[in-house]
Amino acid sequence: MRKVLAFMVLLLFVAAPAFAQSRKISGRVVNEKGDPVSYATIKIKGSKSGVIADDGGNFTLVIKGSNISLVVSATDAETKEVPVGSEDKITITVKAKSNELAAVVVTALGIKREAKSLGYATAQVGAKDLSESQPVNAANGLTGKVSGLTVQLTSSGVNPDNLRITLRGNRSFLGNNQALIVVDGVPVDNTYLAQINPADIESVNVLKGATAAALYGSQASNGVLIVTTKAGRRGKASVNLTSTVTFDKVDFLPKMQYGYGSASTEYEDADAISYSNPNNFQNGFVPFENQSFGAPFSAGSPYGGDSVIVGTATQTGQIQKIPYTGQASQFRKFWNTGSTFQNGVSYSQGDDKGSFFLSAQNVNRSGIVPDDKYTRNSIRFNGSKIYGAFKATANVSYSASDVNTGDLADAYNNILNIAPLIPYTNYSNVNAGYGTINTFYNAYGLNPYLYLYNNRDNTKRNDIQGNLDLSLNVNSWLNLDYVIGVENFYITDQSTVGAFNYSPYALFMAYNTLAGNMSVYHGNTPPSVSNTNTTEQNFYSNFRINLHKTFGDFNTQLILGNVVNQQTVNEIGNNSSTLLNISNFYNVNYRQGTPGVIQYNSLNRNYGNFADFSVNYKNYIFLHASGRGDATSLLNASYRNYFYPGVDGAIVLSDMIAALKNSKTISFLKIRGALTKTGNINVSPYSVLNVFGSGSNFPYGSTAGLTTPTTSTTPNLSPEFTSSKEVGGDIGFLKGRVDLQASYFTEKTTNETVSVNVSDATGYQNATKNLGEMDNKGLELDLKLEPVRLSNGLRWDIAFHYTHYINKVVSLGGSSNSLQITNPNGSTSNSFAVVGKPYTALMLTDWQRDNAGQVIVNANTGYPTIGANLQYYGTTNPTQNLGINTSVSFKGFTLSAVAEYRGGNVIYNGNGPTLDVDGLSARTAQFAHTKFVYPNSVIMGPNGKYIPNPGIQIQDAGIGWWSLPQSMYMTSGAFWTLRNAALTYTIPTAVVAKLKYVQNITVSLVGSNLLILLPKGNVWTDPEFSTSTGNATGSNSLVNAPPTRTFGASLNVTF
Amino acid sequence: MKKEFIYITLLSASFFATGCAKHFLDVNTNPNSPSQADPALVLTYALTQTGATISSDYVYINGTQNYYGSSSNAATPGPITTNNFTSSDFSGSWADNYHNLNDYAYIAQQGAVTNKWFLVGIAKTMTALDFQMLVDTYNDVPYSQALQLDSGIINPTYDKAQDIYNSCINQLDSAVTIFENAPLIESYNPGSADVMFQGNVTLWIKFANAVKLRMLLHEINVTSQAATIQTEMQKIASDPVGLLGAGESALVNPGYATDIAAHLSPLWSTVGYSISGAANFIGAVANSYFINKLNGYNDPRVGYFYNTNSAGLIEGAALGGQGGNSSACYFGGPNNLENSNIIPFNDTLPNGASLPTNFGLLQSPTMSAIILSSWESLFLQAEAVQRGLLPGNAQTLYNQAITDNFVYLKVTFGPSNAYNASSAAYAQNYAAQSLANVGWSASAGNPLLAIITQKYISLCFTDPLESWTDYRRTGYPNDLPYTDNPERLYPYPFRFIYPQSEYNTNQTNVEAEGTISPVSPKIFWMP
Repeated sequence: MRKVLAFMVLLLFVAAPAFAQSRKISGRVVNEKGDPVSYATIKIKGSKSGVIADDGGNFTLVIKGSNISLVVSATDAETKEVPVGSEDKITITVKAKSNELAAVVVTALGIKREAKSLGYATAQVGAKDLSESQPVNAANGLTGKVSGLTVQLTSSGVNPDNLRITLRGNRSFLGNNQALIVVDGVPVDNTYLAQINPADIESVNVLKGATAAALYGSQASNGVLIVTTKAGRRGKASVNLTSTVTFDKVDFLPKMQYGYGSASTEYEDADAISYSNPNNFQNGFVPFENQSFGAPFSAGSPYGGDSVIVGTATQTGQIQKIPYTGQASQFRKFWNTGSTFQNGVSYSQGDDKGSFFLSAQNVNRSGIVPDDKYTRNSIRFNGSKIYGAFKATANVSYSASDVNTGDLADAYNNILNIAPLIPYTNYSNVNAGYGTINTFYNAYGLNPYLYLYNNRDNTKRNDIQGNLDLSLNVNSWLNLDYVIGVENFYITDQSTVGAFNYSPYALFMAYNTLAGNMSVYHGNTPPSVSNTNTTEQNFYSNFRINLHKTFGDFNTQLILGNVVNQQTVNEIGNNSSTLLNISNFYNVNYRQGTPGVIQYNSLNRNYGNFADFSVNYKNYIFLHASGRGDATSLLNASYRNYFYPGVDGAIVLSDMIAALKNSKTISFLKIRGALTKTGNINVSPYSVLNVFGSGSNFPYGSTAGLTTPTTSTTPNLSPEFTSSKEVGGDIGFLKGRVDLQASYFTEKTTNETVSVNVSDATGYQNATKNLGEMDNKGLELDLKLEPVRLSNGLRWDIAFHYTHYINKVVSLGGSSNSLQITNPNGSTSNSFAVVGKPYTALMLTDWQRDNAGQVIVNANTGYPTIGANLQYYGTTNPTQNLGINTSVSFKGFTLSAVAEYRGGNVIYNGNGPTLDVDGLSARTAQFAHTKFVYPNSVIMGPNGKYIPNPGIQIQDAGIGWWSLPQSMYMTSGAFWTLRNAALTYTIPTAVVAKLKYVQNITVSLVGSNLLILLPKGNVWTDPEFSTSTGNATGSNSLVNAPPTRTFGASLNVTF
Repeated sequence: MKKEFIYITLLSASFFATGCAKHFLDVNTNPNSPSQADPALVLTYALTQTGATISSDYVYINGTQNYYGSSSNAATPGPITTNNFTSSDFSGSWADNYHNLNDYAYIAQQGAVTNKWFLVGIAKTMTALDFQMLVDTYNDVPYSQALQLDSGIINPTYDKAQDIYNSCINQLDSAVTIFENAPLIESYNPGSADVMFQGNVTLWIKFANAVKLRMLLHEINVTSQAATIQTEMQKIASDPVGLLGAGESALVNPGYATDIAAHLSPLWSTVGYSISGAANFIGAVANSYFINKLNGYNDPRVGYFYNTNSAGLIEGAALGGQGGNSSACYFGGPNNLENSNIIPFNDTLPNGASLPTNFGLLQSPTMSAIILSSWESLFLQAEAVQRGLLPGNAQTLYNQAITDNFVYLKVTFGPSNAYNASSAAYAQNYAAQSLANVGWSASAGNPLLAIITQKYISLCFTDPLESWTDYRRTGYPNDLPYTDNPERLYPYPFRFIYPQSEYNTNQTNVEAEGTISPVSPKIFWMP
């Protein structure tokens, strides 16, 4: 029967002229503003026939007989019934639903609920907003658009997987605090966001707290980003082409000095080699020196004239002479202009009975770091089909990315160890001239280009992600739904380091003179390689029974469900640092000595059963409750089952109270509240049983050995629990032209799973424990305004998204007051959890001070001493966040921009010490390298009391002085940034219409990170940068390239 | 039709939720690391680790003992230039010893369970050795409550150093008893898993006795221990197996190799060279006091402890001062003469010269790690005999000890083109000199000074801890200079500071030990 109907509908399209007695009418669906309403369904009342309007709101329909009414419905408009007269052309005006009333929000597990019914805050960011700046990673398009959401850009490399995404701050001391990413109903690994073609994304729904996410279970305690990819649009088939090119240029660099020559105060006359200047000891020019504590260039060359000799004589007796002057342009010249080309195509088609979407994209990128490259290719198929009460949806995508980068940290370190007179960009050829390992002038560092070319990392990643959703409407009140999804990725990583081959002459020079010391430290090193192959598979299954029934004024919905997750990780690797010395050949089979091998396998499973009940009274009082019981394989049997409940409610006062309902000023008013508890399993697989290790040195040939572990596990580990409370209200004025959402939340996380240090005398160094508590509070405000909306089409929108966080580490279980956070690569950080302080606390070394806080200097040397204890300087996470979005549109032009402010935090600039230590930074030249008295310092007086420094100068204003405590590199983390701006022009329909086949052409100019304003003290780098995307935020380092500005253009054509 | 579908679906869902779940979650068995271990495999690791600890963790004490000095260009390695030891200095020795002890505790426990009594004997002996090192550096340490995290003791209390010493001496007794119980020992032999003595029980008995002798002599100044010392010495004297003699050094070698950096012999990589041949321990140079002392004794070993510079000279610097050679490593070994750094570029060796191989302090990258050298055992015996605590001839033992060290270093060439085909012969000539603290007869005025002075020379870089202990208990060598550094707060350090990790994790117990400085409280056996 239904098939017949489908056939009939089809006939209506293709065979309309066959019905001679009928008549054809054409029409257009518009909203109150006169704008077309796309894809509205137009049905003939009392009949089952109907059509769908195109995206311009146009439709044609064949009708028969008289007294006919059309029923027009569209997702964002109220349904309307229109009688048809004798006219052939009609315009149907429908009333747009106000945002608050209309929006349907995808909540946990893909359950669609009306926004007004929710007892908690959510937000949705649509495709247009996401892709405004044409980012390679769609998450860049979220920044500044939602309160409570922090998207931190941790570095400026070619790899788009550089974002840390948190919702409402941090909860876990050592566990993951990043939001759960769910793509088309299936949880995926955080890193997957960087693999998705942003143009495939229809919308991102942000479920901010554990409140909204209780139903995703353990993984969702940090909030959820629900990514929904595009489905084929109803209406006629369309093809969309998008082409974008953007360029990255270094925005700003640390401030350097270009006024002083290379010299060190470390040399004695006896050490100076023949052609250095023996008569000027303190500022004597040393040709192979990396320090720049010398005399000003203005004082003239120590050799006389205007040039100097640098480096030592080569084996063939050549001597390098260069002008004696600062090379201020070198630092900027070193960095390339990065470029990104994105080309995408998609095909979309759909009707009442199904949809079809196909897309492909290629990204090709080169970085600001010479030779850094990134490519990504992705394809996607999304399709759905409806057979009567049954609907099947399948989405599948494949992407392959390739990140190829050089060793920036070492290269950057060496740039900061080159005297300012050296024209180092001339040494980009490391195989000839003065750029080779044997001829490079610097005795204490290698040519920075050598590190980029010689030490490389190549990560290739393939992702297949797919899901199948089967849904059956059994009857009007029962629906069954089953989702099964798989995310599979395969990463091949190869790191290679080429050989360091010094000539015998260079080695001789190194051992027998002071020049060429680098080879003493480095030695001849054979090539090395490290290969790692990782596969990860995340399997997800979710079965749901949805029951829906109306009892009088009460609408009820009950969902019963079961969720199963399984994660499998397999890692195989090998490495050798003694490969055979063959140029550009890195295969572990060709080596001396023994290779290293890695094998890691893990499997973990979880399942949960849940019930979710919601009821509303007259569609203005809403109550919702959920409960979930989980079981996990990660914990021992007696601790693996846990339960967590949640409840929330909302009252839409503007619908309930008559006075408000008819108010002209207040268009919408709602109050809401929620209470939830969520469990979070923060242990990796196999963490509940002690195992033996084999140390890094075993086996020695055929001799094997095992050792007891240094970390003691605890068999009775249990989940971390977060209890959250949230209250809020939404108010709209003037028909939605002013719209304010406010939320206040508190979260308490207890039972934190922590690896604590224990006394070595226990035989262990760490033990895993459940202890501690962290509290979060926060205020979120979202204010949307539409100050200008004129009949001539001029429209101005502006929105403010503000968040204030208050976070505190309440307890660390009493055994200790602080806990150091480790970076994902295992290195220690400057970030700590400290009792009574916000998380994470920046703890740094400082000068030794007396009780009054004055710096104590040594009465003989004038130097202060770096104190042994770390001091607290503030939190590394911004406590104040403001995003401002605005757009102005007029006659096809739209100018939009996003600005952001973050502040209230402090950061440690890890590149600072490297800049200072050799006298390269601008501040080292502040006092022209002269000795000085440390301001406001004290010395130990004769009676054991501190007295003001009577004028004892620091001994050496050179390298001896510039080893400062970390606190001297601490600055406020505040910034204002013009995050994105775009000017878009849509060519008028009238013009486009003349082009056959073309439906729409949009061109835009785009830019990102165009401007940044920093507090005066921060001369180093972008305060957002961090060593990794892990919890230890707030410390950058030389792995971070300088911040960049991105600008470019984009063309979008729809056929 | 529809209803059936619902039932089937519901049924399968409930099965998923409950039925198959029983074993569905039992997948937490670790496929990456074993939860069971053969105690013999743990023994191999533990002995290797003890070797690494002795070779590397105390290396800066070589500075305190004037075995190295301060370079003029790079910073001197270690905290020894000022003696202002802090809680971060030597913390590796604390952590490594306790982790090592945890391995021995496992071996002892599993050895008893599986009736592998040889392993129990070894574990007891090595436990005593590790605690001897801990007590000699930290005095009071956790002992009776240590290594019991599995029983819930997370904050072990500190035991009195004297009690630990006594208990360890008992452990050594009990180890010897096990080793000498033939049926127990013959039922199981660790063989090559014992990377120290390859399952040679005689050598284990000698070693256990030597460790005991060492501990008894350490506490020689403690009058309340006099009776114990007498009793225990008699036990050693009456043991027919006796003590480690010439050539019987306790050496560990699991198969040190040059295939990867982690397989290098620990002393080689700590003070010698990395896998690529680049120098390590940069900033340390030969020590001028030690050079002068050896030159004053016409001691050829100076060229076996130290390298020569490009001019072919052994140049030294004082500790804490500045001067001497500016470049990297200056410790003797094959690289001494073969390395390009001392052969002028493009020069060749003098005509007809041939170089011995594997001589000196850094003999090869695969050389064994010394746990307790035979020359130290002989010097200990000489001292015990000299003090009348053991029977025997002190002079013979003294000469044997010197000879043993010459043999180990393969001394053949010496100053002024001196040459002896046999190291033993060279040693005998050397010890025959009529020089106080060299020749026995010439040292008649204070034979103990001669014993400790010669022991001091022989322990250069092979056992700085014992050298430090000897100075702290006897004050010999009596002309040992203290660091020149003006910033030093103490002339000479007597002990380590408890590591910061203890103050962080075991605060109450470590603070019960009071204020700790590098000179106070002294180790219990110090005068």
